[in-house]
Amino acid sequence: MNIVVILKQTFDTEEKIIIENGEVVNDNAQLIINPYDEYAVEEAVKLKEVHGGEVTVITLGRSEAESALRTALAMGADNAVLIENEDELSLDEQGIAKILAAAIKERDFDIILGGNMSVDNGASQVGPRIAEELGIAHVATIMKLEIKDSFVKVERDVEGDLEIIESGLPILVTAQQGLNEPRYPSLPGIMKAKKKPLERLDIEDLDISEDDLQPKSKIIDHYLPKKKEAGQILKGDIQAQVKELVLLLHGDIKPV
Amino acid sequence: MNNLPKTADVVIIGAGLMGCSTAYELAKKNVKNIVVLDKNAIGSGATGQSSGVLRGHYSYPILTRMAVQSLETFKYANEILGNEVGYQPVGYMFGVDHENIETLKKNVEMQKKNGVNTSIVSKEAVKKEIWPELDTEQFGAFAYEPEGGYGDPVLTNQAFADAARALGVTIKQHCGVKRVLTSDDGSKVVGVETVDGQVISTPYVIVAAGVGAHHIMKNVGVNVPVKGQRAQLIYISPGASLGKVPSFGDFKHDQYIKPEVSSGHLLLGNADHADPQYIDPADYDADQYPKHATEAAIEKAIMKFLSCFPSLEQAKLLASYSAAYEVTPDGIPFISRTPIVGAYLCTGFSGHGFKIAPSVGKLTADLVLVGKSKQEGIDLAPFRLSRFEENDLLLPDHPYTTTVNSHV
Repeated sequence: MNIVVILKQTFDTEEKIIIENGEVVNDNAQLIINPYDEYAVEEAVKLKEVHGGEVTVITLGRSEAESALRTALAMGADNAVLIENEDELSLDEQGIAKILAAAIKERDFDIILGGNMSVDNGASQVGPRIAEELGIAHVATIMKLEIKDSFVKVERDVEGDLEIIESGLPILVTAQQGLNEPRYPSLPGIMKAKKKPLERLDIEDLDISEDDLQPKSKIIDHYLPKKKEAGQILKGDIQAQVKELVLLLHGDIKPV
Repeated sequence: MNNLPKTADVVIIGAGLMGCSTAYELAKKNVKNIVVLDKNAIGSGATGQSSGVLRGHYSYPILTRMAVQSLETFKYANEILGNEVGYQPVGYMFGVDHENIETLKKNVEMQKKNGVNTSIVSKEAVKKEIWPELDTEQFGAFAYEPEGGYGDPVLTNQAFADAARALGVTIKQHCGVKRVLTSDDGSKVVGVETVDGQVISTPYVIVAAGVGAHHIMKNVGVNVPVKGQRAQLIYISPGASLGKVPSFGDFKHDQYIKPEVSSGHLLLGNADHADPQYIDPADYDADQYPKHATEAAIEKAIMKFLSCFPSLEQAKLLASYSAAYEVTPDGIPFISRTPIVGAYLCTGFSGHGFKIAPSVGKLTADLVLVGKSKQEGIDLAPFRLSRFEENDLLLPDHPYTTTVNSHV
């Protein structure tokens, strides 16, 4: 099977985010594979283990994104492609999808896997947009994937229920939490990953027009949520506290 | 930060292990009004990042004696402090290459004389009984301490803090000290000022603030050469059930391993300080330094581990992180008076403070109360600030050649 995984490098969700002039600035932040994309990598490696074939991981990112690709290679992927935005073009999900689709189009693929959203922007668009560009079917937020020959059966999370969908190949799927438990890379795997092929491309190398890359949306601002006010701790014996609470509920504050 | 006392008999800056251990010892000696201030939470500095290894093994007799004295507190924490400190006597093993066999033997003899329960063990014994997966052939010799192992630095810190509070010590967290206040002529301590402008008058200040000691003392005209050095560690699953394995000082590869009994995972720490990376003090104070390990450091640790344990191919990388040691130029701490009367230092533990913390508390208390150590066989002179200008550094009797690490 020819398996492609699209992934993105994001900040670790534990990091404190710093915003300067409406832009996110985090020089010391730990960078990780977007957790939802990790499910995709794991599922891809599992598919390879069952069906044979190759797993190619692709990302559009800065040079640092190489470490995310190496982690995927350490988990069991076979080749990696890093598309760098050397000219620092301003891109939105539409442009990102066009770029990734252009890179994937050149390759043989049976299935494309990605995460259902990235934890930084949370747009949830790139996967389905790529499928549209490539003219293939897609199923988002999958919880289970079974492939037998060219027959695909997925279960997808529809927020409180489970949809079962059957399809053929090729297909693009995006992973929801619960699809699998991503493996930790083995120590020998990490060392081997350094030698696995990693191809670097620039957006210029791909077959896309400038028009296609023009953002159709614009981020006006980034800001942190307002700091929560400290809660109030009521004092005194339980009777006094209850009295005060009742007064507060009736008076100063209106319960939501 | 309200209800801070206006006066104190002693103010301790830093509620880490050293600050709380010292507070406890002073309170035990009936010092009444002790205030410990921390800019953050208890143990949030170097203490919380410590790997918690316990060993008596040092090539410095005085540090060995401090480790031996301290081990009693770890072993009997419940009786002494009234709380657990997570002491796990999984054993401590020290391995050297072929060039350092004689040195190891001499150091083990010295340690035995100073009360460490240790002995040279054969490679066969290590292979058969201690760690079968270890490639013992690469090593020249091993020593093993059955009572060594590890403890929990944060639990230990909290235990000292609780014991200190029970004796009347006041500990204020999230209460940073802006500066030490001195008399008009700058010759002695009169108090401290907190970051929100509150003043505590006191004749004695003990600076147990880790890297922070540098700028606190610089502001009163004293140069304390302590800085943050980056430590990088990785946390792995060995990929096999190893059973009980010891904390391991591998001084052939300059790496140490600390096992975690509850999970079977291993913490791998770097002991090769040939190329130290320092952290800018401003970045350290702002808590803005990298907390994650570099790829290079991770790979180095992996290669060393796989070299020692070639059969553990299923080992997996779980996590990695970067922490900060507070280092002095010679790796030996400062437990010292300063040119300012009433200002004392208790800092610079250079990555090996945890195991000697109980002893450090006693020594610091002695220093402040009677001006010298009352601990048998442990003199304070080697820890004085002035040792650099006097060119009188503590040197080991039998140093190892293979490590540039000055704290074994």
